[in-house]
Amino acid sequence: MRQALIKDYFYHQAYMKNVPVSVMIELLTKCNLRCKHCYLPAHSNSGLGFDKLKSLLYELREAGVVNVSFTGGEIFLRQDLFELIEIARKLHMRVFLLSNGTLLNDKMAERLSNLHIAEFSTTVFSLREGIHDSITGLKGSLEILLNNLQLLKKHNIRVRVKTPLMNVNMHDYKEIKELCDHNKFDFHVSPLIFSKTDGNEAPKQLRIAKEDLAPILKEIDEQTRNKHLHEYDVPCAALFYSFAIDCNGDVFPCNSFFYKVGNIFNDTIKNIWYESESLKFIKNIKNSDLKACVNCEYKVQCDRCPGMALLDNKSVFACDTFARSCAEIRSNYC
Amino acid sequence: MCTESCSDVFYSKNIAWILLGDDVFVFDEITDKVYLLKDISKEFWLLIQEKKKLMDIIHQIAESYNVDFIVIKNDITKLARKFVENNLIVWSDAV
Repeated sequence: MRQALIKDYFYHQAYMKNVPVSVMIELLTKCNLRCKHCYLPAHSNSGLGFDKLKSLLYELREAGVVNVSFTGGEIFLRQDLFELIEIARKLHMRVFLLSNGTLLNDKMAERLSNLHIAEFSTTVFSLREGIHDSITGLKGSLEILLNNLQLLKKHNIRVRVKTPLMNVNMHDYKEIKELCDHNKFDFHVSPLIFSKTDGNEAPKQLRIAKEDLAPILKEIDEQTRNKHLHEYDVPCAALFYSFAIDCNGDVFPCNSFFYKVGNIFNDTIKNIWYESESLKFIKNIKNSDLKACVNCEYKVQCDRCPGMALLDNKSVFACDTFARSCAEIRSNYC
Repeated sequence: MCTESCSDVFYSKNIAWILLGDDVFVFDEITDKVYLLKDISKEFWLLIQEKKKLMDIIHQIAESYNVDFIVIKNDITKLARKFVENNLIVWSDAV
């Protein structure tokens, strides 16, 4: 309980002081898989150069960042990944890795363990290889991943398994949760599937239909819905303590909020965080400014994401229609 | 014979930490625990950055708080030992 309070106090302090304590860095978009739900429209970018990333990490530390998440694409395709992790760790930052987990081996897992990363986060779509492999596009990917999860466990690395719930795997999360419980992996399941960042809506075809989502939403909410100790009058408190950088150096409020607020080649991190007019605009939005939400009958149960509102309905003030449909379902049991 | 006060003090390899406002948060990546340090424990932690020996850290804290060195030495040594026990810092004997 005390630990939960300290962690909450940490993020609350970061919010109140507007300090960027967390950053997600997209190291590349190249990937060895082609997951059907992926929001990336292409997989050709090798990402920022090593020297730029090294200086970026120092700059981030200076700005107050302690949590660094490396994402992609598939981050283990970068030959310099371990060097980047070492730099972040030498700067006493926490390192979170987001990976499909298929390119690991025992030596690499041992090395990650010795570097004391905070977490290895990966995606399991199903424990049925026909389903999982059809989503990733790589036959055998489930078997490889499950073996590698055991390597991570063997080396005492904290693992988080995420399951994006889609119409092709919506009945499979319970088995995955059992696997996670048995292996003491953290588990997170979500039915949120969004468009590709270029507007291609193909991934949304994988969203679970509302009538199918209704029976399972309550169960997955119980496992994963955050309970906040603080109420904020802004659409998303995380905008005040975290941000994202893509592999072109573009800076965004979040890696699912595609509203560019700066670029690291044109400005410093501190300047972008404290002076960017675009970011100030986003942060100045209050819940009372969301005309679509103020009188909505489902607002209490809604987990609106401003990034999703922008992606789906082209406005940061718009309704997040998927969140609204989930809220409508919740209103039947909340 | 060298005692603890001759020791160099280092952050353990398994930790991450940040100064946020008036507080230091220390994250242990082995136990997944987070520690909140305030006041003297915070000052002690921040002084490790300057790669000081334990005795130098104690002297500096005594000066900052306008307290006699002898009065504060035992308390801070006890604090340091607790950090060592919790695997947050390591110390090595000076040669």
